[in-house]
Amino acid sequence: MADTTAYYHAAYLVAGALYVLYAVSLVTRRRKVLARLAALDGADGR
Amino acid sequence: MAAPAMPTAPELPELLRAAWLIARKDLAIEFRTRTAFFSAVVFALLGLTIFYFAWDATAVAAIDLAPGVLWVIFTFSGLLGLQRSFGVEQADRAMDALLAAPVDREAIYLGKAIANFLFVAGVQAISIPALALFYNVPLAGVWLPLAGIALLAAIGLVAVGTLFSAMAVNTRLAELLLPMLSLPFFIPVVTAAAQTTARLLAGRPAAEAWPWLRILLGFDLVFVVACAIAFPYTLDE
Amino acid sequence: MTERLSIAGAPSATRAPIVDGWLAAAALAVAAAYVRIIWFTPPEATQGLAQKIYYLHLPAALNAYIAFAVVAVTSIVYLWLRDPRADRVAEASAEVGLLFTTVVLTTGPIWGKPIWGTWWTWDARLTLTLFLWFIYAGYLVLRGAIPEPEMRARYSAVLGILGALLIPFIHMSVYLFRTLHPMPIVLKPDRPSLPPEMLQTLLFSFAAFFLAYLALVRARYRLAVERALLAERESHSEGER
Repeated sequence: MADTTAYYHAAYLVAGALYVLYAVSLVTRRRKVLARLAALDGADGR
Repeated sequence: MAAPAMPTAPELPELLRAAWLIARKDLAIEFRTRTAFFSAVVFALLGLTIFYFAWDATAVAAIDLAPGVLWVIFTFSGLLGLQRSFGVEQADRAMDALLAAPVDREAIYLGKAIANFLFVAGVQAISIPALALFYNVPLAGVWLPLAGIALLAAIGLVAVGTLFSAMAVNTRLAELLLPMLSLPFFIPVVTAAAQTTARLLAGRPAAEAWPWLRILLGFDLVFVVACAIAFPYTLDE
Repeated sequence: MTERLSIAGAPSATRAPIVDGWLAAAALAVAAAYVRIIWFTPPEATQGLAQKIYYLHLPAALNAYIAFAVVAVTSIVYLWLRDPRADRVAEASAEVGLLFTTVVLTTGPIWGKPIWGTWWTWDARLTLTLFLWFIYAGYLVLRGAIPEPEMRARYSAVLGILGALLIPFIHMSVYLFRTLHPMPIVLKPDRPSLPPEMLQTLLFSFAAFFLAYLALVRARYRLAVERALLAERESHSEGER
């Protein structure tokens, strides 16, 4: 059953990568939006 | 924005009469130009041809291929017809005029759906004999039940497709969205139709096809009602 | 015009940290689950290590279904109450649901190949999950194609509800298809009663990933609020010019 180790690793890596990538995408998108909001706040002289 | 008042259950005869008027209008427009219908027919015929040559005729008999091919073609030629269904209202903001008329919103949906249904049925009326010709499918004795399956499948396709056509036309990706949204919904219809057709052509007893027919009937019932109810929510008023 | 359009949930949005308590806790829980699965759970005797993929695959599937149910319910709520918050929850749950569905569709075949000998099988769960993926994808593409928030919410809600109506028909079709087309006999690895250690790991896994679902939806909801706030402020400042 030595073969199945590779699959086991692959699955955990792939799933982990998907979760991490999504979390990163979320954080990045929020950063961008918040940055633009802050810029608007600055522009309005608040 | 306030929720639209729940529409009072319209009188059925009134509803159908209004729906038929709208259907007639659409069909009149289509009949004048006929390009969409002609294109859909040509597309179906081309599809039949392509599928034939894409398969290894020695490995699989043409007649075994036939049900699958027929219903796949049906899906895509149906989509062609559906694309123009609400597209026709885009010119001159004709939709606003339609909405200004004192007609139940469900009637607009039904009218469009009826016009689409007749369009799809028309394409099928040509595709099925063409299939019989190209794929050596003996239609004697089975053409009537086959026509029945075709009409039931057309109802399912059109019920969902008309609604999504109404929605897609208002978005930025209309031509992409219509197939993308509709195809998952077409799959139970196509599967049931193809499975039933295969059994019909193989001369299997009707009882074998019944479970599939039941799914098809159930789908038609549920989605005609659900889409008619959902349609007013797609209107901006 | 000095009146500020208030966006439900907005006041705390801009002050909320990007990685909040929920996300941190979820990350920790998932990491703990990984550790537990990899180092503290014995492999199953007959299937070897690949069986452990199960601890990843099943919780993801459950989350995918829950996320879908949430989209359906919030869609109904939106059409009924016209509350934009319901729409934002739907949007969040749909995106996170797509993530979990993708995990199921990738771990499934990776598990299937060593266990069943084939990468893909049209078994009931995998097929249904594939359909879920299509509906989620269509839902998100639809949302992306409608810039106007109210119409986007309305159309998405219609699709969300119709998608939910579709699921029973897919289930029936797949079930009927499978009973009439016998699939290769498959050792049903997910059926045997699990020894307590494995069951505990599975439950732990469920809990960790469900927490991750909640945390991700929460964060995605915030993003939706922040975007709405941004859109409102941008049109506001444009109006002032």
